[in-house]
Amino acid sequence: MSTISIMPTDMAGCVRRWLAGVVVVVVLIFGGFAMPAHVMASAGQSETETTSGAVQVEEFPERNQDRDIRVYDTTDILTMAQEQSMEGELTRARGLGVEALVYTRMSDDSATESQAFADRLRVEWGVDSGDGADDGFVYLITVNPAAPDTNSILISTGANTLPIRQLDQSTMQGILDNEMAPQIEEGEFNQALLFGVRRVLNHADYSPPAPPDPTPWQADFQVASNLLGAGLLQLAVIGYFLAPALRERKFTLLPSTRSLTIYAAVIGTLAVGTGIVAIASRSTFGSLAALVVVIWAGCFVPLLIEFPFQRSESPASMLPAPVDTGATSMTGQVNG
Amino acid sequence: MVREPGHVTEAADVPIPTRGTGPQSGSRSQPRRMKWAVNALIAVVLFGVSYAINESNIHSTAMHPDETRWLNRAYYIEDFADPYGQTWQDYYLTRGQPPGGSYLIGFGLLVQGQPLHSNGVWDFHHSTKWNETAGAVPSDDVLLAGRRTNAVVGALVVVFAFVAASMLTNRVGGVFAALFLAYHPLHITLSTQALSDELLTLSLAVTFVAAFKFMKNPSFSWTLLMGIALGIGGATKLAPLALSFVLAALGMLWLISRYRRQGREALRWPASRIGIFLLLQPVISGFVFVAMYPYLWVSPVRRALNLVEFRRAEMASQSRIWPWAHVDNPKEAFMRYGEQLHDAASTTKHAQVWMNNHLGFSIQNPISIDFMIVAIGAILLLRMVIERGLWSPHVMMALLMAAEVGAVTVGLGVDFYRYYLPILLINSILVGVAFGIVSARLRDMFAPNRVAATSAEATSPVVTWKSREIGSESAS
Repeated sequence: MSTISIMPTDMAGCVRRWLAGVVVVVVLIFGGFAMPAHVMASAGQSETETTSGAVQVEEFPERNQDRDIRVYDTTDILTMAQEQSMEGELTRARGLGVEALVYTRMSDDSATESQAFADRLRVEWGVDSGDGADDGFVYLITVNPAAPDTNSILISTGANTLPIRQLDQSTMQGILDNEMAPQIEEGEFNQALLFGVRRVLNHADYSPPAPPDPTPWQADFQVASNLLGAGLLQLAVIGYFLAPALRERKFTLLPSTRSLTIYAAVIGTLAVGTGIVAIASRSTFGSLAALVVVIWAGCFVPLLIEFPFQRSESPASMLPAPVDTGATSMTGQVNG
Repeated sequence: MVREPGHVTEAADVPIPTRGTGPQSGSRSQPRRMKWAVNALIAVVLFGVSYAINESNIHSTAMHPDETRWLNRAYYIEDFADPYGQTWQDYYLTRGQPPGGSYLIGFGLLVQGQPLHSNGVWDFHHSTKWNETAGAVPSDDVLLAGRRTNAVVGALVVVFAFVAASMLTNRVGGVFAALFLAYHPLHITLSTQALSDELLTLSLAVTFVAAFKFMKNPSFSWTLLMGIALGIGGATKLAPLALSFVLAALGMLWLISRYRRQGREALRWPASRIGIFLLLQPVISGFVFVAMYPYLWVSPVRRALNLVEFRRAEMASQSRIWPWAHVDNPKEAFMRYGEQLHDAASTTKHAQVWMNNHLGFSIQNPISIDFMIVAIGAILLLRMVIERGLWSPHVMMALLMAAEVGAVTVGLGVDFYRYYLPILLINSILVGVAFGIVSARLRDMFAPNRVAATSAEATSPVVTWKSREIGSESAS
């Protein structure tokens, strides 16, 4: 008896459980797919278009006519002050020739889909410094309230965006991975954007541009300049001894004033010539060698000339005639 | 005015150096050596005092964002070996400041074993907090190493203030000048921050000393030292380059005045050496300036003009950002000297506060009398200038000091404390002049048998004959 009586009761329970399951499935279906649709609708899209969920079918947002608006915080994750501050940063970036835009949205798109969205935003919204320049930045923050750990930030860059001075692709990737992404994980969206934008600003303003490549002429002459520099250094050393050897017919560490003057004038002139060629050809070695020799010839040699050594000339030619005093005549007498 | 025997009126009358070979040198060498030893001892003590003051303030001086910029650019010293590399391309930082200060800081960091690449570039558009986050603030070790470098340079400036004031008057004046500078709060602040202003001031102090020595002994060594000091000063803050043109103008004036008096003979070597050496100053300092600054190598004139234009724009921009600091005209600049170097920061006030704190004095309202002493010194120096005539060493130094004051006064567009340091150096030398002359007068009063210390020969010891009668050119 109890078993029978149980049977109808079990049947009713099964039906209730089946109905409940159907309701849960329906709720899950609507809950799972409909939520993003509501969210995107708040960004100005019709619910009909977004209920299908996929990026491919949603209507793409349109840019405000006012091109000076570059921060589109559709999810309200930034305060008004942060938005204004970010606008200021992006205005400064424009002044430095860097066009950038910030966009935030709620979505459960995959990384690839988000990247596609950001790229499309950059192209269709014309985020670049001029028509067809293809050199803009788009910073896209994607927020997924259902799974906050999948919140993401990514950057879309054009073909000509990087490098900006010393900021190249790998440096930018490093900034994204090491500075921006951790902030997103912490939920610090503004801080992540600040790192992304201010690092670019810092590079654009304060990092040096790459030196221009040498022209074919410069490349050819660099070798010659290096040779000239090497020759000059050798001549500076050898000439110091050669000048008195030729002029005075002797080897000395303290050449006469005239020999030193001739030596300094000759190597100084040669150094200036070498320096001009080396600078024109952007030869580092040639330039530095010429500089060293100019300093040697223009500073040290004249000081050497003034230095109070007894040189090979008669001391009388360098120094004033001695005054005839008792002391000197006494010395003369002693020496006989 | 009655001229005393041995009184020198014109630099042309200064003989070509005899390097101590004259008959009197033997008898003079002993006291001269003694004098040198005493001077060296005083210089060492003053260096020690000033460095100790600076060192004791190194930790407490507030950090200025500019320090991070100088520390950031410390790597310039390393990149000098790559003059066509990235560092020396035409961009904001290279144009912003000449590299002299960066070399100094880089050298200081190297000597103290600190890295040359310590921090990023401070961005003045952003807050201190952000710059800390972004790595633009150096570690404490690097900051202190940079500051210590400047503490040494600041102490050297004090030593040169002693030398300059001693040459103008006597050792007492020199010591007062040095102590006045060493205890001045502005000097202490700038000697304990990793900035470039102390290097600029050192270059000026060396120039003053070299100019004085040059007029006493117009040799190529002093010519070179003057030019190099001005070149290094120019490669630190541009302004000292203007002084080289003042010297060149003086050289031209010298040649013209000689030519008018003596005709073509005056233009022949070596009679013309003073004029020619002075005319060489822009060449020497310009060469040093360009050689130190690889950014200029590829186009020295155009890029140097860019620098000047950039500095002008920066100063205008700073005036816009900080309207309170805007200086309208030279008259206002002159008034600001009083505010900054007399009211806001003053040695005499500092000394009274120190006495209150350490000696138990109770001076209720410390007052500054800095400018009173400076004014007395200026008047006494002016008197000295009038007495000695245009071509004396004293006048040479006084002219350079006046030219520097003029350059700062005309060029001051923004009232930033660090721009007053060269004026402070000059003030301290004037204080030294005041105390030096007063002490000499007192000595004359109490020891009348000595050679009058305030007489001309007492402060121009080298030249001991009437050069007007001998004729300078024949003497050389």
